[in-house]
Amino acid sequence: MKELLCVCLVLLARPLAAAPGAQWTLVRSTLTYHVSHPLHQMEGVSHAARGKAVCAAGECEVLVAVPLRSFDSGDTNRDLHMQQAARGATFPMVTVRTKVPESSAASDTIHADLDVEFARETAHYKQVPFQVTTTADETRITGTIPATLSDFKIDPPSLLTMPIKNQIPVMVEMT
Amino acid sequence: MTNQAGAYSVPNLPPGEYELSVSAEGLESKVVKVTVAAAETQPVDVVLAPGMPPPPSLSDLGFTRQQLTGNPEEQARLDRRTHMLKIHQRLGLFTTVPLAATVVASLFVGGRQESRTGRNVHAALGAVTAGTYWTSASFAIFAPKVKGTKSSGPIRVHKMLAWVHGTGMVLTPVLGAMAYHQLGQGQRVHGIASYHGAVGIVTLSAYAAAIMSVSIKF
Repeated sequence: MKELLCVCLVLLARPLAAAPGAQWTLVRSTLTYHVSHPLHQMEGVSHAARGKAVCAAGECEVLVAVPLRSFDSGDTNRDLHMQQAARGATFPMVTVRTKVPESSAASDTIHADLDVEFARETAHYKQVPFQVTTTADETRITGTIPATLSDFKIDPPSLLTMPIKNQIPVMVEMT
Repeated sequence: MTNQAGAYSVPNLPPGEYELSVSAEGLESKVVKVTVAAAETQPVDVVLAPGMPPPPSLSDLGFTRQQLTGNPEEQARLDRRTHMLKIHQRLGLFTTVPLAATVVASLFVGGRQESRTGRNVHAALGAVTAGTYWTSASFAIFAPKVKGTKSSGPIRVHKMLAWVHGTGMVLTPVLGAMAYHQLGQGQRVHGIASYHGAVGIVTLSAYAAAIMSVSIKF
């Protein structure tokens, strides 16, 4: 005769063997998007990104998110127009998800497959290189996400009837 | 159900084969087979391995609910604002055409080449300029405002210059009408009407600077 007994362990004190995987928290960040227009170049900067990595079984799942309205290009009208074009009031967050080997913290370069969610659309970027600089108490990651407007189905905004370029590379500096 | 130390007991089981399923939050579940004999106590110790932690989520990052929640009304306001400002921009650019023509026509007014026709053409072009200008301006003036936004950067310069050319676009036609009347009476342009040209030049300059302020990065 076979029977199944379910025993639910309810433990107030978590045993050592159950310690969760390593976690990393984003302390500081600078995200900069670059826009090209026939008349001038401009950049929008945000320092408001937050992120976390949870590692288990040798792999880290990374999530970085930033409110779209935190980007500052130095011109309020341009920022509001960017938020409108990117449907930022309806979809206020930009998120980046990736999985990287836990050992990559010790590497000079990480090649990450990124899932970027922006303006309701999700774009996939394969093997985006990030430089890693590790010091005694922090790890700094820099790189550029080769984003384009068409990846997120955003019509290029125009100034004086001339549209901006499709490429909007996003420079990333995270510590 | 175990106690806080993880100890458990299942008394009075009939002899036989059993499967013992053990699970706990944050640990991997395990099922072990247990054979229970008659009138015996069968100790079974189970060690659970650490489970996979849940992947990070937006709620882990400490953003406020307001930051994470979309606001369709706000998006509609932004859409309407952008729509109106696009019309403002296009009409503003279009205004440069009659404005330039008005300036050219002014060369044939008030000098040796003065003629009634030239004066009329200049006045008509000026009226068209004022019409398109104020239509364009109204789209900027009545575009929805976004709460908590304070103008900064080139758009602030653009708005400050609007006070200059806006005032000029009121004064220039008024002074022009006075000058037109005086010339029609066979008089020389005199009094404040004689400032029509100077005010027009200041207005033109401020208007050009306003367009440049949002077009070219200084």
